[in-house]
Amino acid sequence: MAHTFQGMLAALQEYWEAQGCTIMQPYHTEVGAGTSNPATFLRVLGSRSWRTGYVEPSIRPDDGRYGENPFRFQQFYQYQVILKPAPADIQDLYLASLQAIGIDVPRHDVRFVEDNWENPSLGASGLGWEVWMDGMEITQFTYFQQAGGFDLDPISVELAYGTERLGMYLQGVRRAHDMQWSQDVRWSDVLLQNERQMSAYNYELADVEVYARHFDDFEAEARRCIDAGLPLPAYDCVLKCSHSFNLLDARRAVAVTDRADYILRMRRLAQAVARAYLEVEEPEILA
Amino acid sequence: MPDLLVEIGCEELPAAACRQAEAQLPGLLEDALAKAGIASGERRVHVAPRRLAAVALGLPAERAAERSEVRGPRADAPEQALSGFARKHGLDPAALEHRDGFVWAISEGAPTPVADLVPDVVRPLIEGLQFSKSMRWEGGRFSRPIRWLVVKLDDAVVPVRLAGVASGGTTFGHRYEGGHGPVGTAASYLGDVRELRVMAAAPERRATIVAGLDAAGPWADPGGKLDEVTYLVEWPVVLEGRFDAGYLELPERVVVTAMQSHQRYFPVRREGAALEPRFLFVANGGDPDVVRAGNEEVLVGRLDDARFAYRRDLERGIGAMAAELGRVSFLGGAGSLADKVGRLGPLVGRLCERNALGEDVAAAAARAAALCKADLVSGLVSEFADLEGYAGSVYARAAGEDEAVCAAIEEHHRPSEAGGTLPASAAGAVLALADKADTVAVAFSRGLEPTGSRDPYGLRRAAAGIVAIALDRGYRIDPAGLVGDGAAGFLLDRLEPILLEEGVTVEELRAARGSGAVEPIEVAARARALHAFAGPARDGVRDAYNRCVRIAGEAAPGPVDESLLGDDAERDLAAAVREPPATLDAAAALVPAVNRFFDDVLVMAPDEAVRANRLRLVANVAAALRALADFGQLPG
Repeated sequence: MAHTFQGMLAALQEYWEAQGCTIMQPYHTEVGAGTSNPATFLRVLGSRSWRTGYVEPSIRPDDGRYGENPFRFQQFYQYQVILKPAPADIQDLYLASLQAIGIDVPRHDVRFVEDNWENPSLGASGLGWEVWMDGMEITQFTYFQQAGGFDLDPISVELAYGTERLGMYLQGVRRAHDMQWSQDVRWSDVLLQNERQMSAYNYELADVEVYARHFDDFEAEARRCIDAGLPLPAYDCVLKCSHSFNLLDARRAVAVTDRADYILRMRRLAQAVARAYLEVEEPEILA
Repeated sequence: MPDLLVEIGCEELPAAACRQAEAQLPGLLEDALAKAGIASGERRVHVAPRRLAAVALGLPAERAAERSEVRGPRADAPEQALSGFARKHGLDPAALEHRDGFVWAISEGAPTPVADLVPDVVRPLIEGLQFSKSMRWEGGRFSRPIRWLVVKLDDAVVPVRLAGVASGGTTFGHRYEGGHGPVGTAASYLGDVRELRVMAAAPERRATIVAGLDAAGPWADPGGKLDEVTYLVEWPVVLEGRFDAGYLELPERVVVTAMQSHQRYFPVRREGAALEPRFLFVANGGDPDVVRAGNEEVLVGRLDDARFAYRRDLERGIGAMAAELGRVSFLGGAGSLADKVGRLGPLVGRLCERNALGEDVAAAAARAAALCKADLVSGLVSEFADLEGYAGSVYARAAGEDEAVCAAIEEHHRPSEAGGTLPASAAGAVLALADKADTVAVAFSRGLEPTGSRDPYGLRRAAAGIVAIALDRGYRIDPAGLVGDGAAGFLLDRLEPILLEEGVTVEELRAARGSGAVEPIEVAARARALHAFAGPARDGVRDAYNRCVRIAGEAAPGPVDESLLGDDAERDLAAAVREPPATLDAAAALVPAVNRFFDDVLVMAPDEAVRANRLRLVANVAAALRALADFGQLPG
């Protein structure tokens, strides 16, 4: 049954697999979006072709609403696709993927609405659209231009589907809570307690001093890894910095000026990791 | 007379890019034709989200032949050189002309068929467009990727390869309803794409949208979304959605913001009546029932969020929100918003006192200062950032605060941009000044002043707002006291765009600032007066001033010893500056006395005491004039 949440995810998986994507599994470390998964951030660097698709649990502490908001959570699931290089018929491929999960595209008003995406802490940016269906944003569609401060060549395209919204739409429910995850189990059975408890932790309990220290420690650790020529563990440390920052932010422990400083520190790390990654993978590009 | 059609087919262009293309393409087309050496009759440009089309009608069939004369070697050069030159130009050596001792290759040339020139006309259309943002893809660089290219001269395709795309005669219509089809000629283009459900001409789409909105009811567009929407659709269909009238319990601006920010829906309201529980929007096709239902769902979701936040905020009350500001940090290390609010009270007090605004204004401004930041922790502002200030005023009203207090809270963010609406009430103006001044002062004291194009804390805008409000209300603000010595000059710098806009010149503004005036209203008054006084009289004052400054040299102003004044001209000048001129007219009246003094009196008198006395007199004149303006800044 394609219209369960898991059925929809499986249909996306199958569709992109048929397009030659390597189907990855979610990353083991907290990320704010599928973009931060090394299968995207690192693989879009350099010249080698790469196609992947995966579900990414995206952790954004400041978006938590204790499970009370119908579609805002501190953890949501993105379906992430990277095609490198971006094929010329990518918009049609994308629209066919909607068809594949059961959306009769021509009956809807599906619109590509300008969106210029930027992730300053990764030194990454791109141009593209928010895809709207009948006024609802369902996907971010981005041609990456830069990652880790490097101009990309070839250009990758990223599709990030908002799976909860699509799932709610397909099932005709107004709250994610009521969405059938499987035939017998609803979203709220799986995740409601998680939203409540994680929101309480993120907003009320998370120890600000501990996470401020984590940030500093993992920043230093990332540097050591980079110096040792180990970009992959270095990148995991960057992700831990990023998550620590997000928690500090949710606790309102980051002042406006400190924010800029934290972001700059993360961007420097991300740039150093990107360089170290290319040094290992394709040193000729840096020469 | 062939007609040229170029259609650049793109993935969906942003509305701003469409407008940039619409503005630039006519000039690019004209230049490209001129450069190719062909004149055209009428030219037209059509812009839609997925296509940029340029049309040039009535081109010549060919570019006329051009006679060319190329000078070769000297006529007495070796045979080999002469025949080589002839060969290079495709001529028999016997056909070379001899003139002035040289050989010449003369060619009457051949006419160039216009089709051969078309590639040179098309390329600059793509390469010459300047978008505010452009992207790279495998094919090149443009606002969004180019996916097809139609280039036709009458009904023939002209082969061109640009941006990784080869030209053809097939266009793509409406993304879901149009498929693809052939394009006939430039003349048939609009009709051809219409067959594929595309209105390529923006004015037609706009008119269609307006007609659809008009037919549906008295629509409003406070956020100015119509222009943008015109470039977001290729086949506009105006639809109407409804929502539960219960949501109208929300303040009207909240409902309108939910409709217009991000979603671009049009509210419906009869003149003088309340909002109606429906909204209009522009779709790009689809099944109207499905599309309507989806958009209704989205708006209801947003209204639900707004209502949830609004009710919760009302329950909390503005006082409770204000009490939470201690946990929200302001600028790094500069404490919390509660600390900022604590500073605003005394600041508004001082501004009210300095400008004798009376007790009522002072009381309202002080109360508003205490509450003005409370809405930053409200649910409504976290949903809709646009409502900052307005939300606070609504919650203050709900708490029974005076109207003057509520208005000041709403107005204290103004102006939101250069030339934007200014606070309408005195209390609002004072609070807006204090809020911005505090931000500037704190940022400067922490070394966070803007550098180059980087102004992350919006300090230039804040300072410009301070100056605009001071001028608008005629308030004295004591810049150094308000924002600190370090930032006072930064604040006065913001006068420049305002005054230049009025026609005042940079030199006049510099001269006004050179007077030592520091109050924005004073500097502005002096600069405007100088501007109005431009002409021979002002030039006379400038020359007299410059002469005094030059002669006085290092001499300092000071009391003149009357007993050492000998000459009439000297005594007259001393008498004339005893009361320094208070106006430019008075300054001009001083000029004849200055000139007569320099004509009749030898400043560098042999007697040292007389000389020093005279230099002091000259320095006094310079100082008296300079107190009006630094006339030396004015162009001579």
